[in-house]
Amino acid sequence: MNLMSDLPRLLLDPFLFPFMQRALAATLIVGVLCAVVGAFVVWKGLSFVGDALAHASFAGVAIAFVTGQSIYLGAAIAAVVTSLTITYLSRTARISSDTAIGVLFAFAFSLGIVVISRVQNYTVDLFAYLFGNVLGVGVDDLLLISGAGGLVLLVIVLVYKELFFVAFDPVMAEASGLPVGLLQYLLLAMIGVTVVVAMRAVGIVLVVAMLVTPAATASLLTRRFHRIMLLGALLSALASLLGLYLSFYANVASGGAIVLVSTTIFLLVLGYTSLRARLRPNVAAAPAGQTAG
Amino acid sequence: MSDAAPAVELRDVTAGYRGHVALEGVTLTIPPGSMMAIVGPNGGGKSTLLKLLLGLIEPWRGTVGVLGTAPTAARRQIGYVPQTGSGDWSFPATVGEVVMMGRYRRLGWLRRPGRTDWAAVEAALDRVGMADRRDRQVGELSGGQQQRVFFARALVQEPELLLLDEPLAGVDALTERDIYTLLRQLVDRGVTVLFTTHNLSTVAEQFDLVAFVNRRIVMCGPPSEVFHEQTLRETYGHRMALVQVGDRYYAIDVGSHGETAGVGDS
Repeated sequence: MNLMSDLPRLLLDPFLFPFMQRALAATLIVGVLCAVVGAFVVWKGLSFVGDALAHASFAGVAIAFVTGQSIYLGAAIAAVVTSLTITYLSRTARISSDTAIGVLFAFAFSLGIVVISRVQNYTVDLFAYLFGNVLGVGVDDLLLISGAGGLVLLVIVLVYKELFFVAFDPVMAEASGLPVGLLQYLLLAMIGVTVVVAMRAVGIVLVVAMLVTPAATASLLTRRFHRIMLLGALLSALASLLGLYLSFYANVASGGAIVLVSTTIFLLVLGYTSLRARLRPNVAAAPAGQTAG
Repeated sequence: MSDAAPAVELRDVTAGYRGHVALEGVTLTIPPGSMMAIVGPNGGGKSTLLKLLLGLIEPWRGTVGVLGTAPTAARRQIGYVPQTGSGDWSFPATVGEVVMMGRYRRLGWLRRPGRTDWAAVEAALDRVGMADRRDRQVGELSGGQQQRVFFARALVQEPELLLLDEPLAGVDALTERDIYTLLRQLVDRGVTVLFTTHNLSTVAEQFDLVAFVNRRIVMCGPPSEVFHEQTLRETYGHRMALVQVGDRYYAIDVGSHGETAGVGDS
């Protein structure tokens, strides 16, 4: 057995299967989308929000599952409603946003559990939503993932400079006439949609890693915001591809595999940048993104 | 004072937040091309006044006019320099990117900065002495440099009215001097400058007009005419005393550290 001569076959063979082609397309879209949105998540300390929205979407998944409606629609409604409620509560500021998130996400997740517990024999199907099963993505799933994911990416490209301004200085942005409240709602709603799009690939429990890890890795290497998005997307796509191979050949859950690869890349880059900083102490190392939550 | 429409015109304005009155019955006219300091105690309504002019809050009563129109309609012509420390300075943004934010309003939605915009950013950075730091991370700057960046951002807006909210708190002396020089150049070109400050000592030296604000306009006019013990008492209460030493007046804040806070030539 010669690895070099077998390598092209090893790399290409999995994608002779249509389900692997769909899985590849889905993971790449999800990876890129999560990394781009993740740049905001990492730098505005929104990882707790991201995690909360993913868990809250479970209420929508459960209700849609029981009533026979579209799982995605249910999850999207639950995530977007929760994101809007969090923004509303933290803007009107009787309680801190952290507290608002803690209360809401536990509520929505429990609602999902209670609804599901009434149904017999649910475990197998729901396992795919909680922990992800990208190998089971169908054509309809793929259309939805690319449609919703593409829409979020398009919105970010179109209002990039306004989102950037609000992220840096909301007070000043408001003084210059930007609808800051609307843009904050929009960002949270986009995180909500992203979480739902990523649900099938990595699962509700692991979505936060897709949002945070690639953007955090990119933040170690560059300090320009748009480059963090682009480099994060690249690293995320790489992790998705490698994770998919791992999932295929080792027969392990795709979501876990992708996140493990992504985290490995993060640790390698962290080691490299720390070493570089130690060897050249005069060059200030870029500190990691602030990942709150 | 001038034939042109006033830069700022408040008529009998009452405003505040959540039932708390911050300004009451304020009438104030500022002619274009003047440089006015707004002084007064904390909570006296200085920031409320700026927010009214920026159109961020609506008056409960009375009318607010800016450059002959409503504040929200005049936004493109209003520049704003916030207090030191405003903004998320750990956010990954370069000096050039932050200054460019001053052009966003002019650009409008969906349009990206072009060559003219970058030229304006370069020119503004040059004027505040930060031309060599365009690609630096804003998080690496000192407090004085951050304020220069904010000032450059207001410059690229090419405003007709410039509002500054205590922009020199905690800023080094060199930056303070440079910023006053730049403000004077703007005023000479017809820009109206409105500046809230705690530092009474610079008011008499640097400003054409001063308004003492404590829920109402206590007094407004050229510093030489309005710097009286009476005015300071009414603005600050008995914590402030005016002491004459030779031919200069010193305003002393008796309440806090007893330090010398202000000055005025007699």
